[in-house]
Amino acid sequence: MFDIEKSIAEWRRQMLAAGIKSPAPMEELEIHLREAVESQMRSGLDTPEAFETAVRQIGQTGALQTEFAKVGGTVYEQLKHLFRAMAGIPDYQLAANMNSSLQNFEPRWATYFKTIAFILPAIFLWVCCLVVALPKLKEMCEVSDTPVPKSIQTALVLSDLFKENFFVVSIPVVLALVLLEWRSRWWERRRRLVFGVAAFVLNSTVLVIITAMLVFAVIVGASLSRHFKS
Amino acid sequence: MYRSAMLTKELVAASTEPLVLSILSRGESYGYALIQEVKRLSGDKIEWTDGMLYPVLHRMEERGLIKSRWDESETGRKRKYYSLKKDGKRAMVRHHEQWSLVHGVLSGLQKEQYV
Repeated sequence: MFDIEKSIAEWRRQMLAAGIKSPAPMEELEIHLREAVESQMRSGLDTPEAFETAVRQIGQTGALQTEFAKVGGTVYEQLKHLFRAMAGIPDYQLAANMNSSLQNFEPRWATYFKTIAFILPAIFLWVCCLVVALPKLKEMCEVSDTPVPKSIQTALVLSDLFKENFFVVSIPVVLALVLLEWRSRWWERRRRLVFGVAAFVLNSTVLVIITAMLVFAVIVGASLSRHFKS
Repeated sequence: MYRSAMLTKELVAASTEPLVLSILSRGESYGYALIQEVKRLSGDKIEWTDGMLYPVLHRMEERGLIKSRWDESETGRKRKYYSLKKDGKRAMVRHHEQWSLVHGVLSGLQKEQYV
């Protein structure tokens, strides 16, 4: 008895063995094969004949492999895909890795987990900075009579505002996320990008402010030593 | 590279892109339907080796001529639909100009022979 599923699995194995590695074209080809088999059967062939004709029409494994190898070959293309993969922007190679409709984008838990893992060091640093470094810096400013620069002041005010209104800010964000996770198909594709950009912006901000504080501390330190000498 | 009834394989290869672009300019479509459409329009004279179409589509997508999305067909089967992008439209117009030019020159020469 001819088993179409078995035959398709065997054909798939042969294609993979011939070197069509990426799942994307393979899946597209398999869908094509199934469609062709059905169409041949509608025109009166029995299943084995339909399968054989469809496989013949799809073509030789070797020739197909050569053609597929030409896709995504240039260094520029590879760099582009690498950049997109790193940035979490779904492009066709990522999109094409899907096994079923949208499943193969990074799973939800992974995105959340990674985002938290990436922003934790920044939050930790920021808290350390507020608790340990900032009082010292203020003290240094007072002793040496140097005003704290506007940019650092603004950052501190914003940070305080956020701390005081933590729930007012975070509840709408959490609600929006819940709503997006629940209803939006659009969100599923962009989740990783949005979180990636948010984590990047947050980390960069903390890094820039801490660097600014460090530079400022060095300057104040210098004037402080003058202060003590005089 | 291509199996063809009437056209040489070089000609089939060269005409794949303009044909795909022109069919997609009517609206989005998927691999199997594209092949069937070309077969129908050419009266079975242009027949692609089915599998060869996909690398061509993927290359065109990489060059930004077309874009793709996965969706489900009426029967619930997954399908990758391709559609034209702006650059693809421009490329199609260019192809049409070039092919018309060749066609014009050839038919001019052909007429001369019968005068």
